[in-house]
Amino acid sequence: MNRRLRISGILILVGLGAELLSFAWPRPAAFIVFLVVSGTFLLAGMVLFLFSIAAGPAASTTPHGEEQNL
Amino acid sequence: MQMSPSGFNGTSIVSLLIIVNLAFVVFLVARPGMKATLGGKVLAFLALFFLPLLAGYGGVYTHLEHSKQTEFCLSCHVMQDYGRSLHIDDPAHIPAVHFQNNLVPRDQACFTCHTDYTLYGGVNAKLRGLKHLYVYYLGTVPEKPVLYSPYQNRECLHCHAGSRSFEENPMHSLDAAAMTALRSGEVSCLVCHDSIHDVEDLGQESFWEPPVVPHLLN
Repeated sequence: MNRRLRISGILILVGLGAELLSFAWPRPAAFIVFLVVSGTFLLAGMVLFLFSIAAGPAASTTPHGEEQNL
Repeated sequence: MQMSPSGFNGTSIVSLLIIVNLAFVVFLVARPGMKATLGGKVLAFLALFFLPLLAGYGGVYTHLEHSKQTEFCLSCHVMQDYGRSLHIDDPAHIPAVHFQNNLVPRDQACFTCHTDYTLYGGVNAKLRGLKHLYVYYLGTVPEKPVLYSPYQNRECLHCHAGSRSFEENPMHSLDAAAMTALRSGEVSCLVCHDSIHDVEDLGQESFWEPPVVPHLLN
């Protein structure tokens, strides 16, 4: 689960960064960049986060009997 | 763009939200152990779902507000002559008179006259704007842009109806039939007020430049 959350966080970081950059670019193409780049990364990050909490922790057991979150 | 008295506008607020969101996400990514606690789970929900959703909505709002700016419209090469026509030094040139006398907000001059004053007029204007983007970047830009439909009196009357200069103008009020024809759109305002964005004659025009006026507040 931690891995999924970390990937979700990175996707959202990229999406938010692209959104901030699009604000600083006063051209019509900025809206397209915002929709395509920022929208895709933000949506992917949020969906992955929802999936990770819905799916719950993918637990596996080590040979020593310890539980690990993947 | 709408500015509050404190100088904050929509873009500043959305940018601040994004920066807070970025800080939360960096914190979560850097300290994955946080998510085991209840506070960490709440923070993860805020940082990875709620705030990005809000930031996305804020981004759409901010870009739509940006797209109302005169500067935004004139950033496309094909519109630059239309922007220059707002500075024509001729009191009969309708767009120039509106722009130069602050009859429309200068920073939203294009949008103010070229949106439809109907229930979904703003939405329709934005959809047309998306089509413009498609044509500008992927299609063939026409040499002379033309309106999708003839300019409606409705857009003029949105501001002028009821104003003294319009209602008491003898050309408008000489007979009731003339006024009825104007109000119904049967006769276009542009029949008489026909000096509109004369971009073909820009080379022969003189231009007015707005003076630098110190801000009256403070």
